Formats: sequence, structure tokens, C-alpha cells
Amino acid sequence: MKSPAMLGVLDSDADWSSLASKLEISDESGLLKSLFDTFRGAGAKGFIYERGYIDRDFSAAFSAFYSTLFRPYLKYCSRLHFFDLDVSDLSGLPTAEEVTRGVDAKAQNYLGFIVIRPVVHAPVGTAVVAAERVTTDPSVIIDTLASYPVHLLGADLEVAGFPLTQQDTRVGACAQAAIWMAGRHFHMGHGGPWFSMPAINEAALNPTDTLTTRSLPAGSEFLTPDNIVRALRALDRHPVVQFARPDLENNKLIWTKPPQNVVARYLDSGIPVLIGLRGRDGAVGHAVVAVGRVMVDAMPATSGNRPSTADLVSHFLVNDDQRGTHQRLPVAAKDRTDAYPWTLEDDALWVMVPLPSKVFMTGDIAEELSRDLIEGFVDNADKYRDRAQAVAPAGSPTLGPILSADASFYGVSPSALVSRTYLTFGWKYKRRVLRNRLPDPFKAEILRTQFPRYVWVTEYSLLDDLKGHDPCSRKVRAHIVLDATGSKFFGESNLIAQIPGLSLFWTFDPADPVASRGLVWRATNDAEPFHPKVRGWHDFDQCPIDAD
Amino acid sequence: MDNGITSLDDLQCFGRVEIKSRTEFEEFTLRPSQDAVRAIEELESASIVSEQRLGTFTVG
Repeated sequence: MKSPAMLGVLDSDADWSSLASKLEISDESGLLKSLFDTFRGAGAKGFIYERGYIDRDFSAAFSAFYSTLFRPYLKYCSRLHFFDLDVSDLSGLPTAEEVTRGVDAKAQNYLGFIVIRPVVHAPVGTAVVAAERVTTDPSVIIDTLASYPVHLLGADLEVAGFPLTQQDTRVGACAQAAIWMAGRHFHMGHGGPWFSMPAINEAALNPTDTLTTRSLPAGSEFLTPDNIVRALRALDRHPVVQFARPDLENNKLIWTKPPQNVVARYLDSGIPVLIGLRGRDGAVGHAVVAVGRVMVDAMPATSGNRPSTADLVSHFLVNDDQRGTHQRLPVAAKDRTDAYPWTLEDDALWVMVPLPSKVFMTGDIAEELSRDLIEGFVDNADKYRDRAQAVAPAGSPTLGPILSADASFYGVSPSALVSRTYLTFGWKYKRRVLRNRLPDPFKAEILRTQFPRYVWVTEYSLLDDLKGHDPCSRKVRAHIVLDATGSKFFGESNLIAQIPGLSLFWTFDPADPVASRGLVWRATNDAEPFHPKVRGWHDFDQCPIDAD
Repeated sequence: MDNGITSLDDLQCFGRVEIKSRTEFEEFTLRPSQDAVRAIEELESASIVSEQRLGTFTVG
């Protein structure tokens, strides 16, 4: 099969507005225009349009559905690639080898792609836009990234982002699209299984039920939370779900804890979160996938008891299969605009977190335990220091009062500390913390400590430690580490508690773990604030040494 | 050791305490307070009640 490619310049408004018609792409949904806006915002100046593209996803849909219809449908898709520079020079190159090498040379300029399906009601198969180019605004954090290799004209390209697909209303709804987006991210980023949309449908509807069989094909108009959970389990995820409580009299949704805390914690852990938004006037609701956050540059003055870094989030970035990538979902109802029809506060009915296996403790419970632990540790700090002084060899220096290790930290109530709780790999925690600005005695213990696959970490800062968007200028004073496989009761999940001037480690001998339970603590006179975790950083070498 | 195999530095130093006895462990360990246990139980029960009301909410 010949696979012709076309290329062109995207410079003027007219170039963008006529792009779809010039390429003879029909779009009844309007999503394509939104994606064009996104690529234009990312700096696209040129495109290559690849025809006759065989898309694995659409091939699966064609095999399961379109090939069974009376009316014939085409199997072949096309793919539209965007670059941040004019690529029309490729058309003037005299040899094929020069063309392929020319595309190779533009790898750094690649901004991503849109797979166009041959169905006018839902043309967007897959779209991935280079996340780092979506915005240069430092207030925007895109938490969920995976690399997508692309083979074009014999060249190898790559884009890092989060995928979008459009619901194909003939066979699925936004729920399947949301499952697909999360599932594809885990496939590309974490080695999870590859699932086509028909396979997701099959998993969601097995066992089937009366509700989803109100439409044909079953499940093509909506799914229930149960259906979504079944599909996510088939994708090797272990979802945890939290629901709001509807206050029907006042048409309000009541959450036990603010939903932004839940969403922010898991996004901060690099895990996309499915959000169920209520429909208008009793209509079917809408599912989107949260992939990032928009942060304000200082803690709001209204942050009350037990503030958290979720209070810094003004919007969540969501991939919405009907509206496009990185749409801004306001957290607060007061921030609703015409730009997006929902807000988290008014409209989020449930959040669903597709966790990996070996996580047996939710983020809100980890945060509750961590808060309790740090309050208890601060209250008893002098007891640990007194004991350290008592067993010190004669002639040892004197341990001063804990207050002198960090007067700012101990000058506020622990309940006023700002918490930031996230899930991370034990080995990543260890790698980061050994390269952070913690005291050497603390690192000496960490060096020999074995960790479970996943740990919950809660960082604690003062309100003023979190000003600005520069991660190097933000400060952490204390942190708690919990075993994500541990029990939520009895303190069995405790691994590490660290406050200025004191750190406590729970230990055991693997040969006899119950009888050998022990404790190690380290008391020091000096302490300095250290760096918060930064997504994608394994160390803090890029921060200036004298940064405060 | 004198067999050419070395180990990392001895961790014992000023300010370090290591305890292994059961009695001392119980004295110095930190366990969730009654307030924390109650808060966790409330979190979990609230979630179950909500789920019963919204289990058939559909998205499409």
C-alpha cells in the first residue's frame, strides 16, 4: 500500500481554520478544532499528514463492530503530526533518504499527533500533545506523563504526554473513553496491558446488567461506576472509589473531605484520576480524567486547621473526550466560567483512582495517620532527646532543647503545618532523600533501610515555606513515611518520622519480625529545611546550594 | 574483619538510640490515637453510605 504524506505551514489564522477542510477531514463534533487550538498554543508551525495509517485501536473497533455493519466503512485511518517549525523544506529534498533524515532532524521539534478515524461522528482516535509545550506557565503542573514512540516516514520520533480519545458514540460513551485514556497511560508508562475499546467494553459489561442493556450495543450510552471498576480491574488496576453524598433538598453534593484533597494527592503521586461529574437536570453524567493541576503561588489566607497543598490547587487539568486535552476544571464553584461547564465543588459525584497493586491504604487514611503521628512525635520529642542524652558516652556534647533546632517549626501548632501526601516507590523515596538536605545522621539510617514497593510520604511545611512556583525555593521541615501495604491500625505501617532535630525509625529483623520489633532514633542539634519532591527529579542538583 | 570484606561505617554515634526490648518498644513507639482511629472509621463509613446512594449514577 502506498502511504502518501502531505505537509504544510501553519502560520496564519487562515492556515489553521482551513486545515481540516484542506485535508478533507470531516468533524461533526468540534473536538478537532479544540485540538488544533491546543497544538497551536503549543507552538505548532508545520504539519505532516500521513494517510493510510493502520491504527491498532481502530482496527480492533473495525473488527468488532464496523465490519459487521451493512453500510461499508473504511478501515484505514490517517495521522496528523505537528512540529514547532515549518517543515515544508522536506518537500524540496531530492532523495528519500534525505527526507527521512530530515524528519529525524526535526525530532526535537515534534509536538505530537492526532490519529483521524474514518468516521465523521467521532474522528479523533488518539491524540497526544507534548505536555511540556502545552504551557510555559510555571503554575501548571502536568502530573501524568508517558512517552509515545512514533514512526513516520522511516524516522523515529517521540512525544511525552497523556492520551486523549473521543468517544465513538456508536459503540461507547465518555466512560469508556476515560477508561481507555487511563489504561493507555498505564500501558505506555508502566507496562500495563494494552486494551482496545471493544476489550474495555467487554470487561466493563461482564457480568452485564439491566441498566447498561437499555442501550444497543450494550453500554454504548453510559456506564455505571461498577462497570468502570470492572474494566479497570481487567486493566490490572486496583481502583479505589470515593463518592459524594447528595443533598437532594438543596441540590448539593456533600463530601466527607474536600474532593480536591483526594484528587490532588493521587495526581501528585503521578496517578491519573477519573472524575464523575453530574449531568444537568437529571441527564446522564460525564466522566473525565484529571491529569494535572493549576496552582496558586501562596497558601490562601483562608486555609484553616490542618491545611494541605491541595489548598494551592485552583483548577485540575482534565482530558475530556468531548472538549479536548488539558481542560481547566475549576475546583471552587465561585471560579466557574463559560470556558468549562462544571466545577469540582458543585459537580463531582465520585472520584475513582486506578491504583497499582500492593497499595492497601488510601491517601486520606495515610494523611490521617501521618497527621496523628507527627502531632504525637512533636509532643514527645523531649522524651526521645532525653534518652539520647542519657545513653551518650561521657564527654559527648549536650543536646539542646528541641525548640532550638528550628524555632519557626516548633513555634506553631502541628495542626497548622501544611501537609503534602503522595504515594511513591520506596526506592525512589530513598534515592531522593539521600540526595536532599537532610542531616547526615538521618541519611546514615536511610542508607541501610529497606522499603516496601510503595510508601506514603507526607511532607510538612510552614505556610510561608510554600510561596512561589520555583520548587528550589520551597521548603519542607518534617516528613512521615508509611508502609502502603501496612495496616491502618496499631501503628504497623509506621516506617519513619522526622522532625527538625529528631528522626525515628521503626525496625525489625526479617528472621523474626514480630519478636524483633525495635526502634532507632537520632537526635541532632542542627536541622535545616530541605527540598520537596519534584515530579521527574531524582535529585536536587539543579537547585542553587544557597537557595533558601 | 580481616578477610578483605569490609562493611559500611558503624552507625553507633552520639545522639543515636537503638532499642529492641519489648518493654522499651512499647514505651517509645507511637500508635494511632483514639481520635485518629475514630476519624478513620468515620471516613470509611461515610464513603459506604454515599456509595449506597450513588451506585447507579451513570456517565456517558
